[in-house]
Amino acid sequence: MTTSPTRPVRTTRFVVGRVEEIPPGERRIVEANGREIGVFNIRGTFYAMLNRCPHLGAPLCEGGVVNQIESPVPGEVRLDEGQTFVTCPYHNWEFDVEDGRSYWNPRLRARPFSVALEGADEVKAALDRGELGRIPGPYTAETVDVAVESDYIVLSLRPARQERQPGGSS
Amino acid sequence: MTTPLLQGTTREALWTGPVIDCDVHATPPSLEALFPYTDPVWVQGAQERGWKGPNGQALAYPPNAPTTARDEWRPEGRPPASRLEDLQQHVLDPWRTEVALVNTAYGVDSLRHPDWAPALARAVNDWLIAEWLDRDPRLVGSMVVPARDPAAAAAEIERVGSHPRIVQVTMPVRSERLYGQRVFWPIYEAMTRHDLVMGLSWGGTSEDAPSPTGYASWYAEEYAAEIQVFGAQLTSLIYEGIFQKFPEMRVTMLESGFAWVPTWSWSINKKWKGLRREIPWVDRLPTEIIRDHFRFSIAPADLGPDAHARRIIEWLGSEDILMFATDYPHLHTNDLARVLGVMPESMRPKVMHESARDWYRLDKALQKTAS
Repeated sequence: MTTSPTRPVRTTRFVVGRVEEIPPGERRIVEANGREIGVFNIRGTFYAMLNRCPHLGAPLCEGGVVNQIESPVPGEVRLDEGQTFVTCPYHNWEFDVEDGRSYWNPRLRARPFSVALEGADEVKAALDRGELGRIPGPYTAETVDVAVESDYIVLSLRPARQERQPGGSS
Repeated sequence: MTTPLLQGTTREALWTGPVIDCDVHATPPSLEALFPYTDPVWVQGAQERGWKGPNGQALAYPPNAPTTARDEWRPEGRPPASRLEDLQQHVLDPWRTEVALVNTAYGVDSLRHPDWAPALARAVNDWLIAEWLDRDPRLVGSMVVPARDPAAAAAEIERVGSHPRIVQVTMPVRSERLYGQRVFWPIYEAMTRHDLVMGLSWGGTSEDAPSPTGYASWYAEEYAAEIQVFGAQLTSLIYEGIFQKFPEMRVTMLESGFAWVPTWSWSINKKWKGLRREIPWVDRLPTEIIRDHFRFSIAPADLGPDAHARRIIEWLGSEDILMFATDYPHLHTNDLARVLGVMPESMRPKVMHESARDWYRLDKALQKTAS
């Protein structure tokens, strides 16, 4: 940490809520540090993405969630559940939830964020130390209840996810 | 100026390098002219019925329409482009053409008889080989097929497709079904096996109206709007995944014009980006597929003012995509000096001979004949 200890630390990690609050197949759009971010539960794995399409700025996280369709030749199609896209509500362009890449234009990227699941003790301690922010507004995370044996969804605004390795989806 | 006639200019003034003409036509002068190449059962069949040949040719090219043939290219007593000597005198000699690709259609696809149509295709191809290709070493040919019957079409490609100077298969742009559809795969299997190009040519008989929707009131309207049919076929071939199924497949658009291609390709790019999940085999931008798998003849060239034409050429995004043609004997008012003038200098030799030489593997075709 390079920031001086006398200055307030700008929080880059936020507790979004308890794991059960976003069941598989659902999403929640939250605001963190003034930015709208979509947090998705896709078959039990959490992903987050800036709610802004890199093409024309549409609310990307309000779009569909679909898998890649593999097709070597016409008529042969196979759903690849190892690769998931969020589709923009404006033009239906697909963006990989892992690394934000557009399907058709690898130079065009939506902005993904890291999501971790952390235990209640850990989250409470981080909140107490002021290292973890709460999501303001209607989605304010409930007070952390250490009695609940549950994981919490923690969103990090700092490091982007690692890039998807070529061919690593199957 | 009407460049194909070389009026008011000379071949050398226009272009000093080699010339490959990718679109000259040969038309059987009559059904009788094909009798020596026709199975006797169909010769007698025609005589019994008093049948004079398929009507498709006259519908696509009304004999006296000014666009069907230049006055200077209408010989006395026989249809235009029906004799090798006319082609030699009108085009090959004055242009000092190195190679010309002879396209013939004869409206074979307008005959719906399931046995006679393939027989007619065989007769036309054997006539083309015997009376044109075998008689002038400058010629390579585009064979015809009964395009309504993919199995019969594939069989005809098997029969004559390995002839060293057959380099293309003529497919009329108007068809009863869009050519990207899987029912046509046997034709493309045969074509790619013989390393032949698909020559998508003006004309043909659709199952319904000749436009993508409804009948035009006037020939002029039908003639002008045929671009839409070329666009529909280009889109079908790309979206149906023909170039993923047959990566070697090459398509030449003949008499389609090309000024429409950039904007049409932007449109199908855009639709693909948003709707591609329906056609997931299309794995790259349609513009890239067009550059790799399509070529366009420059007759006609609907260019507009030079400044606009320059931009259209730039928008094509490839110097390899256009090929010179006179489209003998059809009438276009193209001025070759203008067409070449709006292109970068590096593109001109490609248009005049290099692209066609490469696209049609002409060195191989002519070498095989020589040996």
